[in-house]
Amino acid sequence: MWRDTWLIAALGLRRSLRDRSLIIQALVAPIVIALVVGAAFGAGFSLNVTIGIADADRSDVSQQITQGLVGSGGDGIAFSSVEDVADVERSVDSGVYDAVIVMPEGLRDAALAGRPAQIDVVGRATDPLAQSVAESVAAGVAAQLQTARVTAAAASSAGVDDVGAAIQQAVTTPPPITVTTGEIEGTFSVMAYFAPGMAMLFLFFIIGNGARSIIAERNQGTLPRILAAPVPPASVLLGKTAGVMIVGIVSMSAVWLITWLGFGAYWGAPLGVFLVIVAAVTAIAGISLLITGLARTEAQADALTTIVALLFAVAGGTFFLGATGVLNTLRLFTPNGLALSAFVDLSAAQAGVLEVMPTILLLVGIGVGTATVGLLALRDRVLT
Amino acid sequence: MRAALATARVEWIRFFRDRIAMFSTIALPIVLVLLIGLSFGQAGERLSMGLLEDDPGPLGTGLVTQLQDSAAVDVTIYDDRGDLYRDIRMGVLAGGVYVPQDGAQVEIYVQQTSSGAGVVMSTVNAAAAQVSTEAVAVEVVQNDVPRARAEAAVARAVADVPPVSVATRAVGAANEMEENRFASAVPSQLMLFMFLNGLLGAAALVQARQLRVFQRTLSAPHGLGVYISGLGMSRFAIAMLQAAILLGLGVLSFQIDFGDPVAATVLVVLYGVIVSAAGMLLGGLVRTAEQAVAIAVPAGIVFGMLGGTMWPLSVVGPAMRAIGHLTPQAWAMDAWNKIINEGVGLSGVTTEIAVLAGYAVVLCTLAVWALGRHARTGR
Repeated sequence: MWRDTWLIAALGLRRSLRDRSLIIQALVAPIVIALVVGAAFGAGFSLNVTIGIADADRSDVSQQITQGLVGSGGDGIAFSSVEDVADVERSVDSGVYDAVIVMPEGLRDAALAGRPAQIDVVGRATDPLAQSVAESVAAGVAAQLQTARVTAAAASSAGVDDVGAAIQQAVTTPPPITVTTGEIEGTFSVMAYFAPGMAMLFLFFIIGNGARSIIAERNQGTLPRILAAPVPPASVLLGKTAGVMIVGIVSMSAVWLITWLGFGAYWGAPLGVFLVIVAAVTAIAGISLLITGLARTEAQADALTTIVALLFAVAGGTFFLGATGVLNTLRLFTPNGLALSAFVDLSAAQAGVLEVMPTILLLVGIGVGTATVGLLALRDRVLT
Repeated sequence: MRAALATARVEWIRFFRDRIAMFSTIALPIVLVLLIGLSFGQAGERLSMGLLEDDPGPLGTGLVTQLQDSAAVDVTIYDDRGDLYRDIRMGVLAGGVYVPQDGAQVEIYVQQTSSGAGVVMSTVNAAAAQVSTEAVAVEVVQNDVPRARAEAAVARAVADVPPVSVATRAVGAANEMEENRFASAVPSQLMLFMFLNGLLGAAALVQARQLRVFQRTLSAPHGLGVYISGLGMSRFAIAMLQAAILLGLGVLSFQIDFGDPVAATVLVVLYGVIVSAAGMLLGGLVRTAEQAVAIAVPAGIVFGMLGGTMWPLSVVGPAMRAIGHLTPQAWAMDAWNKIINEGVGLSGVTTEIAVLAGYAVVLCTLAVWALGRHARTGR
């Protein structure tokens, strides 16, 4: 029986190797798409904001705050002093600054006298992110002024001699919270997300084609002839299933090795990656067999496969990285979404095999369960 | 003309019998528009930041609250360092903040390749200044008077002195695509799926080729030209049906203002010609229906990605933007941006329309050549 099974699987494999459409879908498409995404977003998160500081107050306090901010820019954010404080709106509108923080005339005196005091932020309606960043920086400036006015009030009520010096000191004293930058080790390539995602999308088409060949062979009359020979029906079904699974595992592993070794996209611990590939292919093959088993005609199986593949791709997050809301929950109800979350754990969270084992087992369970139902249906309808 | 219309009618009926085509033409784009609109609602307005806390004291708790209230960041609390690092590495978060037990030594984490470290740093520093007023004032005043007296005086001052306020005003008006997430989802998905469906139409064409329909038309009184134009009209009508449904959904369900109707119509019509011709060209070149699907789906996705229908081209580098403009999608999306956001009419998008018209002429010529060659040579 096993020899028959292997012969049928090997025949399927040989036919796959000659199929140019399969090579396009299994290898070229996922790799090219991953490369395009990699080229578009290879640099990771990127943001550049230029915030102007307009000091219309020109007091000792406002000058100190301006100096402190202008020196404090960093990667992705720059502060610069605005020369023309009269026409801040125009310089924001024309894009010289993404947003401007304005310290109006008389700010220091109002602040220190305990009168209402206000800092203005001028942003561009088309750039809400820069505006909100400027707003939060302005809140920090307001806090510095607040510290100065609280210090002034407290110093005079406590009987401090030199209130002016205390105010100066309050503006320059750093807060008791220090903020340091720590870099996270290890990088993540967006290709390690989109390559497996796209490979799984196209696997639905490839494996679906393989599974449908059972119906096609019955219609062409080759299947009854095989069954007339002393070949058990189980060998035919197992051989077909093994054939499409080997094609799936080999093609997805090839996508992995090419994007990893050729383009440096690290998918994570190799054993874990391989096991997730096997599990994902098992789940997709099971679902394809179920579709084939339930469909009445080859055309119906074809239509169902395309619809299921595209719906799973959309819901499983194949096209988007880092979605929130509905998509983030929905993806865990799809086999490809589950596999993608395991791939992300292996690559971005640097997880080990054991940590992704529950997902691997779940995927294999989905595959075996759906395949059993599908194969039973096929045995009853196609082989008899 | 009547013969061409009759051909178009037959193709149109065949299309409505094809469930996959119906699904990918109408249902899938609608599902995608809904998912994108619902899943990326707040994108682009605030920085996403992850926060990990280790039971911090009052100062640290104050900082955490301050960050959660901050206008600039959208804070997600993590309880696992591995999960936080994962999402930072993936770029899902702009950065992460760790507030330790004493609350004084705050650490921020950013991706190695990220350029947003300064923004995260500035935001956290501002929040730190906001929660430190009292502590700094006590430290300064106690230089001159005993600490207990300084603390009492500062506590009184904090209660008495009103806070310094921040007022924000914006110049210009927010554009439609930023205010209404669906306003960018609908045109981009429309451009993506019109093209994808146009290419998928090649499969039906290959079947007709295999049945030698093109050769037979050579002997018919109306000839090949009429047959090809009929095919083209049916593909174009399908593209227009798709556009009408998606744009109608946008106007009726999501209250999208698509701008000047004349400019939008010219754009959609030209794009419809482009996608129909692209599908007919592919149908004239490939050998089997499987090959047509195998090329159409990846090509539709790749062109969509390069042309800015899956993400705006404003977020990619200049090289990718230049490459993207080799696709008609990029020019169509540029035109939509101008029509919807800047409110321009046809005169404001002449360059884009001219380029798209160029694509239409070239693709139509190539499609007629490929199908004509097939009809004459049988290849």
